[in-house]
Amino acid sequence: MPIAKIGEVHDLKVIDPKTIPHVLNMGELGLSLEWCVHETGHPENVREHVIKRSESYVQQFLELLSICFMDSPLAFPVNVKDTGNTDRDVYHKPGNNLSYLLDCAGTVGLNTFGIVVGTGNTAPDITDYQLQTIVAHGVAGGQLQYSAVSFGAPAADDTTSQLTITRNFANASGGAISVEELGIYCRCLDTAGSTRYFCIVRDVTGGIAVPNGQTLTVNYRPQGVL
Amino acid sequence: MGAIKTTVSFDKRDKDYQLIKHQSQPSRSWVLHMFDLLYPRMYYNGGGLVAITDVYAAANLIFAQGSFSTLAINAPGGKCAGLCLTGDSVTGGFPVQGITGDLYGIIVGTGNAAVTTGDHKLQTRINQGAGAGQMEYGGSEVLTPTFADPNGELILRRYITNRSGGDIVVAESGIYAFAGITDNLHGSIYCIARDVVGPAVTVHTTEILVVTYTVQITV
Repeated sequence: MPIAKIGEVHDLKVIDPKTIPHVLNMGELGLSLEWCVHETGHPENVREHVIKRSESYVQQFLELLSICFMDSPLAFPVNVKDTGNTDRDVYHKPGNNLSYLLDCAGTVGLNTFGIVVGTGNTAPDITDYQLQTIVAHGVAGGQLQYSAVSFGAPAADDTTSQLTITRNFANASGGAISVEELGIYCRCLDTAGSTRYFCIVRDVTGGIAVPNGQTLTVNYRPQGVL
Repeated sequence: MGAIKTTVSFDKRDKDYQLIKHQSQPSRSWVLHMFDLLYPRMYYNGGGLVAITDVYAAANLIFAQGSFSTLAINAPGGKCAGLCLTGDSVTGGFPVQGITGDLYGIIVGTGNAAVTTGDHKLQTRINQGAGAGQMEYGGSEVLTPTFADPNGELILRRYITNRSGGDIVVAESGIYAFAGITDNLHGSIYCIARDVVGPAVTVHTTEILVVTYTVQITV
């Protein structure tokens, strides 16, 4: 898609969040990835809009999914590498307090979980446990403002089932930032009772230019296709 | 590249465990309820409340906060007690005595209707037992994931024995998951995957059917 000058094109829109993009093949369980760069406060003024298949669930996703499937108890945790490169014993805590497992609902200003962005461009690998160079939250040079993560409830059409995970990254740093990598971090509980963070998805973008005064919106959609 | 691909295989073995027949097919099976059950896990802060239809056609609110599970498929065999929640009682038609192993995990059936994203159960599930048309479900296993860069693999497997005295034609397979509901006391079973077996597998009496789902990531 050609890049439109800000304020000059008014008929470009972010796709309806209820729309289900079809980027996966039959039988796949994957993610569609959509990003949009637009003027902050004016989502109708779109600079760049891309929809593609995500390249990279990484090792931790399969390990954490296995914990869900096994309902792994305290006595039989699964060893998973966190975003600090430390192996943690993760399990599913029953009960109603802090039973985090695959929680991606990061709140405003937090880059420890939820959709995260970075400036590294090394090709994804299944062993990736963090973004190469994560962008910090803030308004200083090289920083972006992380919104809270929002969700679109599960939905399906004839062939594709999905849910939607969304986060905005506003650039008020005073300079342009090139977002080279995207990912999803989640939080879980380990057997010591501590909250730990894990990278479950990492994608390299080829470079998303986010000028000062613009906002990057990222939608990840876990999907399954019949 | 980049997405998870799943294959499902059906090994038929005699009573001495000698392989009689092997067939494998790409699984096309992940249905909407897989995402309905991932949603409350991923949206923990927001509660992630979602109403979904269980295999008994009852709508329940699923809730990750405080639930005992939302995606448990690791089940013991037969009528061995599986997930026994405090206060477990009739919820959407669910039996009082708890959730036995044969009710969730990998399940097989005899229906061959095409899969849809809205499937909430197998068309005609084969029930536990040694009576006519019944099979005996072993434990539904979730093996530890293995990785060899750039690949990762998670194997789900179940042994199912025919001692009914007659042939049984297995035409569909699926995965049923247990999930808790909002009161943190009750739970039920939800279909997260369904495949039509092609061609259908005829399992003679005394034979064992091994159903294996292999979930693979390649980056």
